[in-house]
Order: sequence, then structure tokens, then C-alpha cells
Amino acid sequence: MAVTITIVASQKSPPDLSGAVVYLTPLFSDDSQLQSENVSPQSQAAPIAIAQENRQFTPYIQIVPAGMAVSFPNRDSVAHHVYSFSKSKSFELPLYQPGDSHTEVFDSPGLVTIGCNIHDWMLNYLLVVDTQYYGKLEKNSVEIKDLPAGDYTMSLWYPGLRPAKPISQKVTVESADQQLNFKVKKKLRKLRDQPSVEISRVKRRSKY
Amino acid sequence: MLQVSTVWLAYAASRENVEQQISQRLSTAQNFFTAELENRRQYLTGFVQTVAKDWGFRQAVGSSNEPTINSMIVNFSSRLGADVGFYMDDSGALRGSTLFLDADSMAEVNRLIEQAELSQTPSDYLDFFLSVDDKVYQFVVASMKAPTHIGWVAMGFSIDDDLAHNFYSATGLQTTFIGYQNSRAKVFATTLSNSEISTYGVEDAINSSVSDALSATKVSNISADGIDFSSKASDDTQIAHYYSGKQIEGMQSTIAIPTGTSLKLSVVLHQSISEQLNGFNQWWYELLFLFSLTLLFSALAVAWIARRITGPLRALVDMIRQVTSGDYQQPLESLHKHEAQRNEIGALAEEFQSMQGAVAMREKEIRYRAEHDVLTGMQNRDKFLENCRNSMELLEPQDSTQRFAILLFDINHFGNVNEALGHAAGDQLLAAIAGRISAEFDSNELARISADQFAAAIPYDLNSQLHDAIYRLQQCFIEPFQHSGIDIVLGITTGSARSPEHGNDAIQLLRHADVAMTAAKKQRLDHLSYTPILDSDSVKRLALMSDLPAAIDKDQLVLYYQPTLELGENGAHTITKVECLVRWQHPVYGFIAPDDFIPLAEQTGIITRLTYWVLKTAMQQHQRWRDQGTILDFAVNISAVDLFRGNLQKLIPALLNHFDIEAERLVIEVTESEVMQDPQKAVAILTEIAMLGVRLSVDDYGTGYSSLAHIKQLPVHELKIDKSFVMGLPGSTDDEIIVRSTIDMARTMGLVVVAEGVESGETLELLQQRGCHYAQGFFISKPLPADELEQWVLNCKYRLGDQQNVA
Repeated sequence: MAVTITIVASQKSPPDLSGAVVYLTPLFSDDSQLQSENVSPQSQAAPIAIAQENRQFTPYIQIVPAGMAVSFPNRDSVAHHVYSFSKSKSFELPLYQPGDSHTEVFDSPGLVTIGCNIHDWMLNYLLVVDTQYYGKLEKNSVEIKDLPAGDYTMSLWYPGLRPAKPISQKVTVESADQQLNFKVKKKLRKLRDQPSVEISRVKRRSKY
Repeated sequence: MLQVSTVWLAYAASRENVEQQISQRLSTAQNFFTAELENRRQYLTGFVQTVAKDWGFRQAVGSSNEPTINSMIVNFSSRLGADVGFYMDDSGALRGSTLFLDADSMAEVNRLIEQAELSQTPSDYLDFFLSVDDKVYQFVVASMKAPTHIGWVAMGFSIDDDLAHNFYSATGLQTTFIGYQNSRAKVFATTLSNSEISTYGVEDAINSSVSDALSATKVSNISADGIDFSSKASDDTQIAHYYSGKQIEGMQSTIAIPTGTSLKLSVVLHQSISEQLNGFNQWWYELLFLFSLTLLFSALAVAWIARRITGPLRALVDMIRQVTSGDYQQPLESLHKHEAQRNEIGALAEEFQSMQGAVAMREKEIRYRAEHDVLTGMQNRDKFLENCRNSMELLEPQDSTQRFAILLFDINHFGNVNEALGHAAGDQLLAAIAGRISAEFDSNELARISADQFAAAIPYDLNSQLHDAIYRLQQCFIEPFQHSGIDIVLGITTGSARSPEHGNDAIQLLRHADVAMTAAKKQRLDHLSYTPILDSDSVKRLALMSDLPAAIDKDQLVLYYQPTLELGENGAHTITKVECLVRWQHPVYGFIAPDDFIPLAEQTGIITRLTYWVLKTAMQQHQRWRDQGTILDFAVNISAVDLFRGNLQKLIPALLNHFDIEAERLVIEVTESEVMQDPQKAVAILTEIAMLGVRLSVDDYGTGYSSLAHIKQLPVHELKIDKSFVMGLPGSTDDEIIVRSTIDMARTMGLVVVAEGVESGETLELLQQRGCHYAQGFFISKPLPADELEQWVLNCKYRLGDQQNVA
């Protein structure tokens, strides 16, 4: 049983938002039923990894519930130096070799922008959320499992969104196998592509 | 002489050479200069890249440790060799800097950053020149990423005297940087001392920089690629001389440097010419003195010789040249003063003087004879044609009101006069004729073309002016001429040809006038105006013309009727109207097409009789059909001659009254071009006719040149679209557009539209769909005689319009 959420944009040809994250935060967190399921998010999910492959972060966009540990395995043949100066989580994994992996725990909700000091173009967006009901869009719709009936704030976020904060709206889930439309009135911008070494290279016209 | 000019040329050449060299050096320096600024920008770009990617700096910025950021910026600047540097966070706040940026400078930087962020192709680098605290810096700013954008790092070089001296040592040109900001121009860096600044004309450059800045409205934009020095610098560069008093002191080149900010920056490169020429001047003065002495002696000797012989001879030679070129008014005074002692040269001059007078007189006479007729004193044919050409050139071809005509006339039976009275008398008469017409017309307009042929050139605006000229000409011959006490009455025959209708070339016009005149003579008419049909096959047609009046009387003419359909929905069309068309069955030549005799009938004025016949016959027929119970409106074509010389406004009501026909049944068709011959008069007459209730139709609509403006003035009721547009339907896009727009336009003006030339069912259907009211054409029926039309009506698939009204 699952709830399917579909992004319904007002513009004529909405952009493909595959990879964007959608999450539902219960409006009443003291609700006993929800409380009970919120206790130990770590217990129910496999460990989450943000790998370094081909000098890119995989995946480009990741969403995790607060308190989750995330591993950073280096699957490349070169060393990496992963860091973030984001407010919700500032960390650094100084120069580590191929095959190494480090784990960081992300306690506070918020957006963590992760880069690599050796490879300036490498970029990862890790969204830490206060709920366990989330998913990534596949062709602008996503299935969220085990979502109990109740009132939620439903949010959408992806790089390229302007302004950069998530788009949110209230939603009531009535049954477990509902079709929900996430109607967006404003014009949705394109999901900004993950930078790669080619596009990050500075292109300058020769003048002489 | 030769020596002096050699020295002068050498001096001028060397001066020119120096100027060229300087000019060359200035252009080279401009390239060097722009290349140098570009190099500096690339250095700075490297610097900011290094800083923005430094891990230590990233950490310092990430941890927001301001003192650390500040000291790192200072450290980087000195380590890399930049003069200044700063870091600004994403909110636009300065977090570390080697220099104090005041609020204005900060606002300027923030504006540039904002502009770059909003640009279509956001760039990670910005470069610009900024004035800070009375100094100018070249800056490059880079986006700082950790890993996404968190702020801006800037590194800069100052534009100072050291830079100016660098340029000086590389190019040998004095270098001054002038900036203009906040309504103030200032020298920021220079290789000159304060006193030199004024001598070198730098102040002028400052002033012009101020005026440039005031007049310039656009601020150079920074593109994603930064400022493009190469293109902009060359556009804004001029090389100029500058002056000290009136003496050219040197040359300078002012290069505007695009700054990207509100600062206007230029660099002035200057080079003194006098410095370069100093050595040369000394040598030149010495030479000049030597040659002046030589020159003085030569001049004295030459003057002595000239006084004796050369002077008078040269004066004489000059006079002869003048005479050769056609000026015979040479005075002798200039010679007299040379030969006070009356020598041989003096005598020669006297002879020459009298010869000059004789040649002038003879030439005048020759020219007069070449252009005039000796007997009458009038212009001859050649001069006349030349004058015609000149006046035709003066006409504006676009202005259709400006026209030109040649009137040609000869004296009827002048040969008889010559025979009876002798040639001397004939000549006297011709002179008398010339006298009369010369009194009536401008002598420049008149000419004697041949024996008893004369011509007049008439520029005019309205046809009536041309008619007036013919009338005036004829008036000249009303009074009899006197010879040896007898009265001789002479008549003339005139022919006319008009430009542009009958040709744009004077000779052609004259020939056409001759054709018209000859035709008039044959028909024993006083006047004919040229038409192309007079030219070809004219004998038969002229014979026809003399037969036409008889044909009208003997009923050789037949009226044919072509039905006009009122278009209804789903093919429910109704016959409501016929157009009456005249046909001539000649006993000898057989059937004669209207196009062959109507124009001639118009020429000869018989058309008014013809029109009368058509109107009368059409009304008789209408009356006959009405008695049989069929009422059909009828349309009659009216020519311009009817309109302007006939009496239609009286004739039509009289006829209608006689046959007891309502005026609404009659439609008068006129063409645009007919109306255009005298629009004012046409409007007056047509209005009078329309007041009776007669409907007015503009025939052949679309073929003339008139505009809607003219049609609007007419009391017009319907437009007939010319068949040339309709026949192409459907298929021709152009015709479809013309027809559709004519229908739409006519409907808006409340006019009824008739389409002529309908040759297929498709066309008919299309016209009906487009909203055309009436249609006419071979697809419906060709013009038929009355009895055949009655048969056709019985057998056709269309309803008869007004039958029920009568029944």
C-alpha cells in the first residue's frame, strides 16, 4: 500500500524533475501513532551512501531523515577531500585514498552542500529532513510507502529552485493507497544538472 | 627657384615623415597598450582563481573567521604581487580587504555582481576598473565556491605612475591616464611633470574627456567574457595633432578604456614633433638664406626682360585663348600699358581687337540661323525639339497632374494660295500668320516646322488648358488676312499628342501629333488628338468613322444585353440586371468590335450621339420587357466625352421621363480613368445625375490609378471588379487577395460589388462565399440580342428578379 504523489505544474511543458526530493512532515508530531513510528528511523533503512565515482558524487541529490549516518565511500582511483561548510553540518574528510570510506552522522535538518577540495566541480546536495516519509521523483511522480492517514506538510526541493527553499503545502492523507496531486502554481525552473569536469572548466575566448 | 622648392620639399617631406613615424608609433602603442591591459587582466584572473580555490582560505571563509580572512587576503595580495585585494560574502558585505572601499565603491561592485548574476550566461569572473580613494585599480573578481557560491574574491593592480613609466620605456611615448567620475576629470597617473601637462595639451584631453563623458549615455556593459579591449579601444581611439598657439607641437592618441563602471578612463599617448625636428630646423634656415639671395638676383633679371617683350606677348596670348573659348569681350587696356611707345606688338593688338568683334558678330548670326526660321523669325524644328526635351525633363514623372502636349497645325489649302498668289505672297502670309500666333503664345513655345506647318508646345495641368490652347489658336485665324487689298480667309487643322500617354520623347510626340493632324485632315475635322489606332490600319478605321453616323441612323447598330446575377445562398441566384453593350453590324466589313470604333467615336465626338442612341434603345427595350411583365435594371456605359462635353444631366431625366422609367432602374457605368481626367467636373456632373436616383457604377475597378480617396468623393453606388482579376479565380493568390480585399473594402463603404469575367462555376461559388453581390460573365451568359436573351431567361436555371412585383 502506498501513496502516489504527482507534481502538477501550471505551465504548459513542465521540466523533468527526476531526482528532485519530495517529503511529508506530519503536522502534529505529538500524534501517538506517528510518534511511535518516528522513534528510530535508523533501524528501518539500509545505511545510506554518497559515493565518489568518476570524480562525481553518486547520487547527486540525497535525502535522509535527521540522525542518519551517511557513508562516503571512495570508489575512484584518485584521492578525495570531501567537505562541507553548511550551517546544519560542517565537516571535512581530509585526503583519503581509493577504497576508503568514512561515515558522518547528520543530526540537524537542513540542506548540506558537499564538495571536494581537490575536484572543485564535484557537488552533492544532501537534504536532512525531520521525517521518514520522503522519496525522489521519477518523471515527476513518486510513491511513498507506509504513509499513515493524517495531516502533513508536503514539500518539494531540487537544485535550481528559485528561491532556493522548498515549495510546501498542506495535505491530508485519507487512505493508504491514495493518488495525491502536488499542484504548483508558480513556474517551475529546470533541475540544475550535476556539474562535471567538462562544464566546470573555465572557457575563455582568445582575444589576440 | 628650383633650388628653393627642393629645400622646401625636403623640409616638408621630412616633417611629413616624422609625422608618419609618430602616427605609426602611436598606432603600434595602442595595440601594445591594449595587449598589456589584457595581460594584466589574465594575471589577475590567475590570482583570484588561486585564492578562491585555496583550501586554507576556504576553511577560513567556511568558519567565518573575519580577522583570518582579512590577513589571508593581505598575505595573498603580497604573495601573488597584486596591489590590492578583497573578499566579499554573498550578502555583499566586505569581510576582508587590503584597502578601504567607501559606500560608493561598494555599491558599484555590488551592482556589477548583481548584473553578472542576472546575466543570461552567468560568469564566474568579472573584470572592471574602479576608482577608490582617488586612485584607479584594475580588478578581477571571481566567484568563491565551497562547493557552491559563497562569496567573491577580488585582486587588483593599481593604475599608477609606475604603469605609465612602463609604457613610456616600452614605447617612447609620454603616457597619461585621465579618469572622469562624479563630474570631475583627474590625471591619475602620468609620465609628465605638472608643467609639461599643460604644454603637452593634456588639459585639452581632460576637457574633451569631460565633454565625452557628459555626452556619453551608455555605460559599457561587462559581458560574460569580460571587457573586450581589442574592439572597443580601436573604435574609440583618435590620433590628433595638438597645438601650442598656432604651431603644431606634436601628436597624441587618446584611447578610451572601457571600465565597466561609472568611471570614464582614457589614456593619452603623446609625442612631440618639434623635438624630432629640432636638428633639422637649423640646417634648413642656413639653406633658406643662401637660396633667398640667388632668388633675388634671378628675379631682378627676369623682371627686366618681362617688361620689354614677354609681358605684352603673354597678355595677347591670354586674349587669344579667351577668344578661342568663345569669350569675345576682351578689353585692350591690359595691352595698352605695355606698349606705350606704339611698337609692332601694339599694332598687332589693335588688329586683333577688331577681328574679335567681327568673329563675335558672325557667330551670333550663325547661331541664330541655326535655331530660327529666317522668314518668320520663329524657332525652327531642331530648336523646338530641344526646348520640348528641356521642358519635358522638368516635369515630375510622379506628378500625374503635370503634363505636356505638342500641338501641330498646318494651313488648309495653303498650296492653292501659293499657286494663286505666288510664293512671295505665300511667304508674306506665313510671316503674318507667325505674327498673329506669336502675339497669342510665348515665342519659346512656338516653331515653324516646315513650309506651312507650325507647332506649339503646351505644358498644362488640366485637359481644359489644352482645349483652351487649341481654341486660342483657332481664334488667330478668324480675322481674314490681307494681301494686296484682298481678304484671304485661312483655316487650320490641328493634331495633338500628349506626354506621358503618347510618348516621353519629343520627336515621337511630334510625329504622333503629325499622325493625328493628318488623320484630322482626312476626316475633315478641325482637330484630332493622337490615339494609337490612328497610327495603324488607319485608312479602314477612318472610313468607318465616316460611316458611323449613318449606321446610327440606319439601325446598323444593335444593342446586346449581358445578364447580371444577384448572388444568393446555395446557388439561388437571381437575374436582376443587364448590361447594355453596343454592337455594329457593318454592311461591308461585317461585325465590328466595340474596341475598334468606340475610341474613334470618342475622338471625333460622335460618341455623344452613340450614347444617346444606346440610352434610348435600352429604355425602349426596358419598356417593352416591362410591358411583358419582366423588369430588369439596365446598365449603360458612359465615356469621358459624354461626361465632359455632353449634356447627360439634362438628357437622362428627359429620356427617363419620356419612357416613364423610374430612375432607380438605370445604372450609369464610368471608369476610374474617365473620372480622373477632370475629377472636379466629373464629381459635379455625376452628383447631379445621382440626385435623379440613377445609380452610379465604377467600371473596370482596379485597372486605373485612382485611389479610394477619389472614389469616396463620387456619389457611387457600386464597384465593378475588372475581369482581369476575376478570371484568375480560383488559383491566383494575388487575384484572390485583390478581389477579397476589394469586396471587403466595398462592403465597409456600403457599396455593391459586381464581379465581371466569371468563366466558371467555381469562380461563381468563390465569389458568393466572399460576399460579392453580383456576377457577370460568359459562365452565366455572353451578351445577347434582346430576343435571344428572352429565350435564355426561359431556359436558364436562375430565377427572374422582379417578375412577381409586376404580376
